[in-house]
Amino acid sequence: MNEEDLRKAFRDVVASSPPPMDPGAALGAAHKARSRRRASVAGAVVAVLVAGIGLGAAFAVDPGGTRELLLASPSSSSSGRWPAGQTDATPTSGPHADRAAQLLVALTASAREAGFETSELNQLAEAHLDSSPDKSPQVWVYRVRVPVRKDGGVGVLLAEVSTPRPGEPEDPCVFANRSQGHTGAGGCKTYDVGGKQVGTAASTSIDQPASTTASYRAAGGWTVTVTQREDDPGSGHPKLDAQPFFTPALAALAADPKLLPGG
Amino acid sequence: MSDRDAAFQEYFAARSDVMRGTAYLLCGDWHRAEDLVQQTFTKIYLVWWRIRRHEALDAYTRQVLVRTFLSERRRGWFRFEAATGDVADSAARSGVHPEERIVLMEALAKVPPRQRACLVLRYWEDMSVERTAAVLRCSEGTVKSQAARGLQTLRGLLSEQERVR
Repeated sequence: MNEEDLRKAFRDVVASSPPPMDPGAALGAAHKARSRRRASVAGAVVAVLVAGIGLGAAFAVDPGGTRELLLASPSSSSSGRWPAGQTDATPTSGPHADRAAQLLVALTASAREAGFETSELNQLAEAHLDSSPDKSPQVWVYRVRVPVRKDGGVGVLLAEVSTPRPGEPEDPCVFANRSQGHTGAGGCKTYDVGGKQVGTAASTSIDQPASTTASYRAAGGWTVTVTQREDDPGSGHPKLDAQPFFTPALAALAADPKLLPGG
Repeated sequence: MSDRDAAFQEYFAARSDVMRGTAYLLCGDWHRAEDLVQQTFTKIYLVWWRIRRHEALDAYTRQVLVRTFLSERRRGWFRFEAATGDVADSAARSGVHPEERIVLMEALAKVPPRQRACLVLRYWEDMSVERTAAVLRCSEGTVKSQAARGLQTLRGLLSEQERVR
């Protein structure tokens, strides 16, 4: 296949497109986004105003204070407003960003305890609101990414922690399979980690680098999903000789209280 | 309806199909492609007054689309690349056997996202190396090497699939 062949192939593929999208629906979605933006600007003004009358305490360095705020936030966030110090759904500062940073520290520590080298390069920690800011409870998702190195190879650990999401199933296999893109039962295996049930699912594609996911649903509905890959895609580094953890150890990591607030 | 809304709707009606084609080549799934287009046009709408007088609105929209795709890829690390069956559901209007399109999209899905973006911008959008580098925020040398590598990867995957079939 040369460049011309590719151009032709692209034309052939796109020629079979579905019916046109609805401009009215697109405008409606744009209006909603504009409303959310206005609400967030209003929220920022409110945050600035209340900061002077005491809510600044929410930013206390005391990790216990932050912990309480984080645990309370999903059910106590007032409708249509962001937590103090935050102005949008993907904060880079404020309590939710702090929570993501804490998760990154915890996952990095676990990787090092297991004998891997880590570096800040290509690490990522982010928090985002995964529900409407106007609905209660708000659902926040924290994601971190930690490349791990051993014997010249590089793999990656990924953790995703979610606040309780109404209506989600209790079976941890649902989350593990979802992360791996499996449908139905998906070959999920459940491990008992000190009385906690952790679902694990592995990649099935033989021509792709191997990966495994472990998911744990904590009491109260928080979910933790940890995925490991034997490679760090896009990094250009050689992959590890094997995935970072054996599956039971990965399950134990997912159930580790350190990955949850208060752990 | 305000002037801004009317102009936006008109622009969406005129250009969303083209942008969706690009989005589809990037992500390999018509539903995701429509999500990407919606996200892109929403971003455009929010800054409409700032950019609507620009002559290069299409170029800007395309840039937002590609960056939204790459950003989504970085965020969606738990969702692994998977070829979709959606292609086969679409009506075959091009005269090309549906299976050939599926094979191409399966292979394209396995090309790393930035290489794929290079291929789509260079050989679908016919963007220059300079413009592609600007959109992807990388050097021209990187564009050249990514495009060459992407083409090579695609070629290898397609011949591999040909052997299997």
